Formats: sequence, C-alpha cells, structure tokens
Amino acid sequence: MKKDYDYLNITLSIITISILGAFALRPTLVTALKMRKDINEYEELRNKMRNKLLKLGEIQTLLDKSKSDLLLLNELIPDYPNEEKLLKTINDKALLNNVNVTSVDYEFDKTDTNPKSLTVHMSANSGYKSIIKFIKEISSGPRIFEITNIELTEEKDTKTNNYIINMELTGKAYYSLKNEDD
Amino acid sequence: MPEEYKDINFVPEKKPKPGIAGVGDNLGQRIFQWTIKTGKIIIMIVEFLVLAIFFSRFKLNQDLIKLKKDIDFSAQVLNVYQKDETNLRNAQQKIEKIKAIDNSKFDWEKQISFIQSKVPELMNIETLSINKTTTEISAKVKDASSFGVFVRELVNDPVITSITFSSSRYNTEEKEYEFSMDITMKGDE
Repeated sequence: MKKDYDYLNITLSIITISILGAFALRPTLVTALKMRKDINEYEELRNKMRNKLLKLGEIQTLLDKSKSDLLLLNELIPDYPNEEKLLKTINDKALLNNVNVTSVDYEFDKTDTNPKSLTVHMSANSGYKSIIKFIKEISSGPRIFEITNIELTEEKDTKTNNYIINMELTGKAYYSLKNEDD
Repeated sequence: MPEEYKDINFVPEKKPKPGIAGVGDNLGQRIFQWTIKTGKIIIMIVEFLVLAIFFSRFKLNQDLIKLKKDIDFSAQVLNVYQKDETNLRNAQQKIEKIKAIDNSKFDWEKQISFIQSKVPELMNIETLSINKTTTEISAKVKDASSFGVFVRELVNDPVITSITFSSSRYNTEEKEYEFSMDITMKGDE
C-alpha cells in the first residue's frame, strides 16, 4: 500500500510540474530571456558606438591640427573637377612660355574610384625650348597634373621658314567627390 | 440466561473495492492528502518563480530603455561627427593617390633631352612619342653613316634595354632612310 501511495505522489507531482512549467513558467521565462538577449545586443552596439565616438574625437583633433596641410591637399586634388581653373592654368603657362595651345579636350572619369581622374588631351605648338619648358611647368602644380603621353612632331613653318614643334599631350588631373550631404 | 453468549453483528462487512493501483476507496483521500502537502509546495514554488521572473522584467525593461536612450544619443553625436570622418577618408585617399603618382614620377624633360642628345646632325626626327613605358621614334636620315651612328649610340648606352624597329625603308626619290623604332629604357619596364 505504501509503495502504491508513493507512485501516486510521484505521478501527480510530475503532472503538476509539467502543466505549470508549460503554461506558467515558460512564457514568462521566454519573454525575460528575449529581453536579456536584446539587452546584450544593445550593449554591444552601445560599446561599438562609444569606441567610434572616441575615434571620431581623435579624428577631429587631427583635422584641426592639420588644417593648413588640408588646404594644400585640396589645391593638389580639389573636391570638384574645376576644369575651368585647370584650363586657365594651362593657358597662363602657355602664354608665359610663348606656346600656342590649339585645343584642349576633357574626359571625365566614370568609374567609382576616388579620387577621380580628369583626362586632358591637349594640342599645342611652339619652339622646342618653349615646349620643353611648358611641359616642365604644367606638371609642377599647384594642381597635380600627371602627364601620361607626349607626342612631338616637327614641322617647318612656311612663313618664317623655322621649325616648330607640334605637341599632342595627354595628362591627368585629379579631383575628389565628397558625399552629396557635405 | 446462559453464562456465555456471543455478540452477533448484523451489519454487512465492508470489502475494499478494486481501484487504481489497488488504492481503492482511499484514492480521493490520498489525492487530497497530496494536494495539501506536496502539491501546495509545488504551486508555491512555481508562483514564486513566476513572480520573481515577472518582477525582474521591470528591471530588464528599465535597462533596455536606458540603453536605447544611450544609443539614440550616440547616434545623434555620430551624425554630427560624420562630416569629419568623410573629410578624413577623403584626405587619406588623396594622400594615397599623391604617393602613387610620386612613386611613378617620370622625368619627361630628361627623356626628351636624352633622345635629342643621341640624334646625329643629318638625322631629322619627325615624330617622338613618349609614354612611361616606351619611346617611339619616327625619323628620316640623309646618309647611312648617320643612321649607323644613331643606332650605335643607342646600342652602346647602358640605360637602353631594348630597341625594336617597327619599319625601315630607303626612299629612293628623297634619297633618305625612313624608319620607326620603339626604345625601352631601364626603369621604364
């Protein structure tokens, strides 16, 4: 009889614990665990943001310190194509060296790279020394101008009977495109 | 009356009815017994646990709200700093480009002067095309010895690594050699 009574106790206990566990404990526990998981994820995100803020603080200090360098950098590679200014520089240097620039064509970079290139195809003519000086000056700044190809052809000027050099020059200036919201 | 007599019980004797696990008539009583002893304790423990978890949710909820506020605030500050980050990235990309250009710097004047210095008197360069890898020359030369001098000059120069003639012909009308050649120099390769 005692053994029967024990079996009954155990059975009833198991049934009660199962029912209460499934319908009372489980939902509360699931909600609490989900909240705990959310908290862990948010904590991780907050720590990442704090680290980023620290780094951004350092960046701001660095940028403040190097303002003059940044101005120079913006002259070397401006933040927009600014082809008018480049054309003016070319013309000024041509005039200075007595070089006759006959045509200038631009080709804009359509790739996603940054800084982007602004390819310049230029035709000019003058005497040999003037051309050499012009080539030297055009690539000496203030904006970066990287010459990629030069073709020189000698031609006799029928009027003056002197030889002139026709030059076809291809070079690249660069510009950077910032985000639209800047 | 006789001295000895036996009590006679006319009430029928109760026999236990067969039931679950042989518990019989006592089942209801035993379930009741279990309920007020073990069952009560189980229910109390479960209630306690449920209430403890329920109240801990208030604390968790509070933590969650605080974290969300922190994150929102950090996000606002990050937005303010975003421009600086873009500026720095932009500056870094520019510096990298400048470094790359500086590393592949090419002295055009020197290259043109070098070719010019090799040209003999009776030779006339028609086209000189220079890029960072090769130098192409198209020229006319009045006599064979000047042509020979030019080629010898180029061959003997240790800076030149290869000379390739792309065309060569003798113009009988003009009585001159016309040729085109590609020159590769050290550092150009």
